[in-house]
Parts: sequence; structure tokens; C-alpha cells
Amino acid sequence: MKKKLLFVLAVGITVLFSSCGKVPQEEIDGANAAIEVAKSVGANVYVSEDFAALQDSMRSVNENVEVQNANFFKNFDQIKAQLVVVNTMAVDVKAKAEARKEEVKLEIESLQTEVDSIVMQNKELTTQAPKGKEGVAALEAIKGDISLIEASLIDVAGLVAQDQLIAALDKVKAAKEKALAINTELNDVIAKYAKNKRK
Amino acid sequence: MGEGKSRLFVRFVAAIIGLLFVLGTAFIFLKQESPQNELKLAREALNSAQKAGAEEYAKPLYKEAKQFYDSAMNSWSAQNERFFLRRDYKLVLSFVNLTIEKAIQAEQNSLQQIKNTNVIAKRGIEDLEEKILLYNRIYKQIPLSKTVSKAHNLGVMKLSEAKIAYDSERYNEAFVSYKEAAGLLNSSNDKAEQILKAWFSHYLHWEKMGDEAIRLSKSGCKTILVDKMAHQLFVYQNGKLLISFKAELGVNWMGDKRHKGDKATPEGIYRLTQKKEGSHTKFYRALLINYPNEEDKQRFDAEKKKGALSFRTHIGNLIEIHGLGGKGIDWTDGCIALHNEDMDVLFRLADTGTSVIIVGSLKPLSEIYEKK
Repeated sequence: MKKKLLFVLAVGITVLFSSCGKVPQEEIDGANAAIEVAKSVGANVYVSEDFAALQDSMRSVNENVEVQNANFFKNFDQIKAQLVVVNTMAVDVKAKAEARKEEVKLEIESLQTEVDSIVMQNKELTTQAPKGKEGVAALEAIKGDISLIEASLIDVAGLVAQDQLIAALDKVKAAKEKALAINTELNDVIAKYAKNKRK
Repeated sequence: MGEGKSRLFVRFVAAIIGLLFVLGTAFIFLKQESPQNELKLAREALNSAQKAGAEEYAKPLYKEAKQFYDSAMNSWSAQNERFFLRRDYKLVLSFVNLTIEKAIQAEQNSLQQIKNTNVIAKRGIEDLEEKILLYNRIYKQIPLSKTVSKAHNLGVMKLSEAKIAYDSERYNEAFVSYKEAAGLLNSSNDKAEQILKAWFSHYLHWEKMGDEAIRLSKSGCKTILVDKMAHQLFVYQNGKLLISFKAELGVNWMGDKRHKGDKATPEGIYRLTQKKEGSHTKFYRALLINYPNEEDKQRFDAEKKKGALSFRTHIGNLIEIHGLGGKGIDWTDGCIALHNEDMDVLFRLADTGTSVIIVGSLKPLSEIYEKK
């Protein structure tokens, strides 16, 4: 009887002064690692709002961990469930970031092709533009402009290689605008020249 | 064991349990409350600042707020590791307060910074668009070095990037691109302006030459007056303007002609020496002028003597007013090209001996800049 009572007392005291659960450190580390992976693919740039929500969720989990740490009777079951959600969110955010990056990459590629094609067209137009001394004057400047666009396309490729896709997208869009402006200018020169020739 | 001892033992255990219960209850009441609500407020303040773009537009303040939040969390964690009666959350709460204070500041600064950057970038972009218009209206037609036009074109492309970033509400990037564009466009416009101003230092002389043309026409003779800057050819008679035509000039039309092959259109007082048509010209119809005149020859000799021109350089000749113009560009080797239909009219109006006065501009530079 005495032994039984002593056992019950010991267990009671142990339960009273020690925690009932341990901090799910492995799961916390896993969630933090998943967030880092999402960041490494550019989630903070390409899906910034989703990434901010993910960070907030993780901070909330950390706060809940401390809430439990402050308790006599710790229970991390809910936190473990929250960490599962955070992990799923991180995977989702990473996937979204990758998808957005892919979209941007495709847009850049499509624009690069488009600009390439306009540059080719412009080069072709320069061969149709007025020949002789009057042509030389007009074409020298335009040829210079075309070479600027070609240089800009090389910069775009460099930015893509450095994974600076937003900057690359801005640059290729600007290159397209300039290429189209040259195209209009060349067509105007040719039209004016043809009109004058007919007279 | 006797029954009495057993009963005593049970009473002892019950007393211990009772004591523990009383102590536990007292401890729970004595225990400091966990600062979870305050931490939540700090986190919300941090989120609000982040949503306001503080991570980018108020970087140092946001970073500080984040550091205070992390310190609050670390401090809370450290206190939780202590015996519960010895826990003290004062430091945690002070970090929480600092987090909230800095986060609010970061949010306000960020919103202000966005507003400022937005305004500066917008105004800057508009200002540069004006400069591009000015370049296209005035500077594009003047013969500029490749460096100047390259800087201009790079600036135009950079400005497009700034506008794209601005439209996507990426004001910081828009601002950076705008600054680069401003550097390029300002430098090209400034250089072009310098060139133009230097050339216009002759304006008073041109003004006198223009007056001389009108004075000469008052005798009843037709006088041809060419305004290079305006790319216009005027015909005056009896002091009155008879007709005017659009003219195209030499590739390097700006500045006076100095020597053969410089593709400049000369400035000075000349007269027509020959009318050419048919097989005598390959430019539809042509009116030859007496370039070089005495003044041109003297200046050319002086430059040669000074060593400004090589000994082998030739002064050039065969400057004409001819047809085949209307190309919309300056393309001749120094001649003045008119549209064939205009050339027909001028050919009928002009005779050998008609005065031809070529000036840089009949309008002062200020008036040219003011022109809308």
C-alpha cells in the first residue's frame, strides 16, 4: 500500500513539474528549411504577398511554441498541425514562384524572338532604303540604332543568365519599343523615297 | 505495518498532495502572464509595415523593427526556460514596444517614400520625355557625332525601362532607370545645345546678311535667301517675300563650308553663275553659285596658313541649288536640294546673276527653342 502510494506521488510530482510534450524542433527546422527553399527560388520577388503570408504563419507558430513553453502542461499537438500547414504553404509558395518565374521567362523568350524578328526586318528594310549618298546619310544613323538594340538583347540574355528576370523583362520590352520605332522610321524613309522617285 | 502507522502515512501523503495543490494554485495566480497578445500585436505591426512596402522603401527602419521582434522572441524564449516564478517579461515587453514603434515608423516612412519616389519618378519621366521631344524637334536634324546620338538612343531605351517599371508600381526601379536615362539624355541634349549655341554665335552676322538680302531685292531684282536652320529657301523681290520652298542641305550642313569634301553647305553672299538642265546636270535642274567667293578664298588661305587645314586640302566648288530633294533628310555634298516641282518654279524665277544669300538662321536661337 505504502509503495503504491509513493509511486502515485512520484508520478504526480513528475507530471506536475515536467512538461508533457517536447518542442517539435525537427518539424520547426523542416518548416524553416521549406521557407528558405521557397525564398531561394525567388518567392519573395515573384510571389511576394504569398511569401509574406508564409513568413507570418511561421512567426505565429514560433509565438505559439513560446506560449506552450510558458505553460506547466505543454501540448504541442496543435503546433505540429500548424507546422504541417506551414510546410504545405511553403511547398505551394515555392511552386507558385517557380510557375511565375517560368511565365516571366516565357514572356522574355517570346519578346526576344519578336525583337529578333523586328531587327531582322529592319536590317532587310535598310537594304530597300534609298541607295547612294542620300541613303548613306539616313541609314548610318539607323544602323547605329539597330546595333544598340542588338547590344540590348545581349544584355537581356546576360540578365536572364543571372536570374534577374524582372530587369530582363523591362529591358526586352524597351528594346521592342525602340525596334518598332526604327521600323516605322525606316518605312517612312522608304515610302518618302519611293514617292519622290515616282515624280 | 500496524494499522495506526498506515493511517498516519495516508494522512501524510494526503497532506502533501493538499499542500501541493494549494501551492500550485497560489503559483498559478502568482505566475506572470505570458506576453503572447503583445507579441501578436508586434507581429501585426510588422506585417502592416511589410504590406506598406517597408522592406524596400524603409529598409533600415523595417530591419530594426524585425530585429526588435526577434529579440522579443528570443527574450521570451529565454524567460520560458527559467523557473516559472522567476520569469520576468519586462524586457520582452520593451522589445515588443520597440518593434511596434519602429514598425509604425517604417510603415509611415515607406508610404511617404513611395509617394516621394512616385512623384519624383513621374516628374522626372515627364521632364525627360520633354527633352526627347526637344531632341527630335531641334537636335535630331543637326549633324551630331555618333557618341551624342548613341547617348540619346540609349537614354530613350532606359527611359522606356523606367516607364515600364513605373507602370508596374516598382517605383524604386523606375527611379534608378530614370536616373540613368537622365544622365544619358541630359548629356546628349547638353552637347547638342553647346554645338548649336557655338554656331549661333554668328547670329548677328546672319541677321545683317538677311537684311542685306531684303535690301538687295528692293531694287526690283529677285534675291534668293536660304535659312539653313529652318531648311527653307525664300525668294524676295521689292523687299517682299515671293515664295518659299523646303530645302535639303549637305550631310554636315551646320557651320560654314571650309573645304572640299566636308559636306557642309556654305554661308555667305553669292550669285548664280549658271543654269543647268537636261544632260548638263544629274540633279534634274540646277543653279550653280559662285562658291568659293573672295571671302571664302581668303578664309580658306588663312586657315591653311595657320595649319588648321592641310596644305593639300582643296577649297571645293560646284555648289548648286538643284532638284531631287524631298527625301526628308540632309543628304547632299553641300548643295541645296529642292523638290523637283519647286525647282521648276525657282528655275523660272531665277536668272544668272541673281543674288543667293545663305545664312545659318534668320531667327535667334531663343525663338527656335520657344517654338512649339
